Amino acid sequence: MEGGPERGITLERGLVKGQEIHSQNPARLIEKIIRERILDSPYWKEQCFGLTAATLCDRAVELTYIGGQYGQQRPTPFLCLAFKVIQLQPEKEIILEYLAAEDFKYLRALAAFYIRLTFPAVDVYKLLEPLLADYHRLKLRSMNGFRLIYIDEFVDMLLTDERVCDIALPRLPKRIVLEDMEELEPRESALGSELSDLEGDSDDIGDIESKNGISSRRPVDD
Amino acid sequence: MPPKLTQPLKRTRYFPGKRTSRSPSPSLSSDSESGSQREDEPRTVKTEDVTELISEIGESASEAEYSDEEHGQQVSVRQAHARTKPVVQSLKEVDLNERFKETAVEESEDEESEGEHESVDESESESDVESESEEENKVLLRPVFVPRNKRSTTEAKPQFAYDTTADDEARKEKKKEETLAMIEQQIRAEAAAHATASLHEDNVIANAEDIDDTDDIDPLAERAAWKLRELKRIKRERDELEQRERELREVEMRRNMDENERLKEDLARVRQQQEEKIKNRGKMGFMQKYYHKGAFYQDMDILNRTDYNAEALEDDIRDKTALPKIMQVRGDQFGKRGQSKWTHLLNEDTSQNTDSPWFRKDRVNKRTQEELGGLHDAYPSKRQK
Repeated sequence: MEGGPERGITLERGLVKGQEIHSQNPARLIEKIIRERILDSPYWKEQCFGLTAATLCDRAVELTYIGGQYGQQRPTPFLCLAFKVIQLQPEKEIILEYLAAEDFKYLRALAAFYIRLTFPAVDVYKLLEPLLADYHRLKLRSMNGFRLIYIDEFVDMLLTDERVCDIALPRLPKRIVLEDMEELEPRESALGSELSDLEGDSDDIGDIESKNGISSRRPVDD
Repeated sequence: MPPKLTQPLKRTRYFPGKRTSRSPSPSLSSDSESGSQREDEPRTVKTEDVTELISEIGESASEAEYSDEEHGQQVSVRQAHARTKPVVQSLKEVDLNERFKETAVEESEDEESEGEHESVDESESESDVESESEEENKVLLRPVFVPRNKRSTTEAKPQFAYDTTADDEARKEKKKEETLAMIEQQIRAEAAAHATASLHEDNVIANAEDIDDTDDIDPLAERAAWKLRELKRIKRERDELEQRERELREVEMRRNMDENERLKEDLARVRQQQEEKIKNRGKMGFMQKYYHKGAFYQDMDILNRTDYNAEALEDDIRDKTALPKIMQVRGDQFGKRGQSKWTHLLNEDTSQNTDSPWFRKDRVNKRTQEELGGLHDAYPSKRQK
């Protein structure tokens, strides 16, 4: 369809020149309906034509919000770029570079999203868990409007929820299962030492809440 | 056959050119009787005649309205004048002369000017004619058109900003500046929106500015919030772990049990569940209908919902017990035909016959009861002792 001579992904059923992801055409990661909407959207038609990994980086940096669909089922630029990355299927190193870009949080979010969709389970846990310590703010746009979200919340959603940004995520085994299979170590929280101190005082999160004077509830996802 | 009429039916419809039976022909009377009088006093109209004239006009307006218009205004005056004169002339003159003797002269002068107006007003509807008798005493002014600037009633209106006065100059200048600033701001906003919109979308982002995604506004607060979230996540994971371990343990135990023990445990568990369910069951409201939407078009949230007796539908009036008994019906059935207020079986039960006079054990009922077949147990007769 586009891209280099060796790489190409057909959107219709057929041979896939690139790699198969989760044993199917990578474009199938996104459902047909949403895929159609992305392909019909103006952002896709204007901005996502003839992108390469580098130029995609530029576009991603210009993002101002993440999200799935909004308004009258319009796909967000975030979603369009995600689909573009799926189409391009850059190498793993490039994605890791994206993920490590501390200055551009939306690029990071995009990389995280792609990782969740395409990488194998162990890698997903290994790569995304460090992001649970990142509390930068993001704007999430959904059918209900805008919402404030943090990167760690977003990553938590990616790891636990089944549907994020209106896309059904591929099945991810639970961490416990992988731990039992000894492919993963138990999670070490970024709190680390602080956690042990807190445990000594009280086990109740409610107390900790009142201590810090904050009460934050995890909002209902869109 | 309808009975023959002694008198012919009066024609009440208007026919042009025809006189109705009530009003005498003006030509005859005007020529013969009142012609001389009118020559003497062409303008002055006697008060008694005028009042009679007006009442006459009121009566016969329905009949001769069109005729008045046709034959001209002046003619109508004469007609009425002529009509009144021969009919009750002597009577009227006597009464009114005594009453209105003092004001007769004044009024006659007033009637001069009024005579003109009357002719104009007669073309109006009869209601106006009746009201004229009240306004008889007032002077009617001729309506004259006053241009807008000369009117006295429009002074109350507020002056607009474009009035050029010395005090407003400064205010004008200020307003100019304000508008310029506003325009500038708008243009800037539009330019900014255009810049971002060209890349992303056509619409201006509505509440994107409300949510601020700049970081490091308050590092301590953000870190604290993050800490809280992290702790919640850890807690969640621990709970999951615990649950899993519990399940594994239970599975282990069950495997080691006998059949009987398993059964006992199951039954105990079921009994406990039932008790909890009954305890947690919500109380149904008065006349609340049991309503379950069905499980087909719902998602997994219905599993969490254990209380189906809670009110699923909102009613306008929550507490129906406050209403009179007649109105205690479901939905909008009150007052509708066929609405018989069936509440529940116990309410409609008549088998006990508690209040029915037929089955009371009174002295009054005694005889009746005795004679009713099959109920002799209530009042055993003396013989059956």
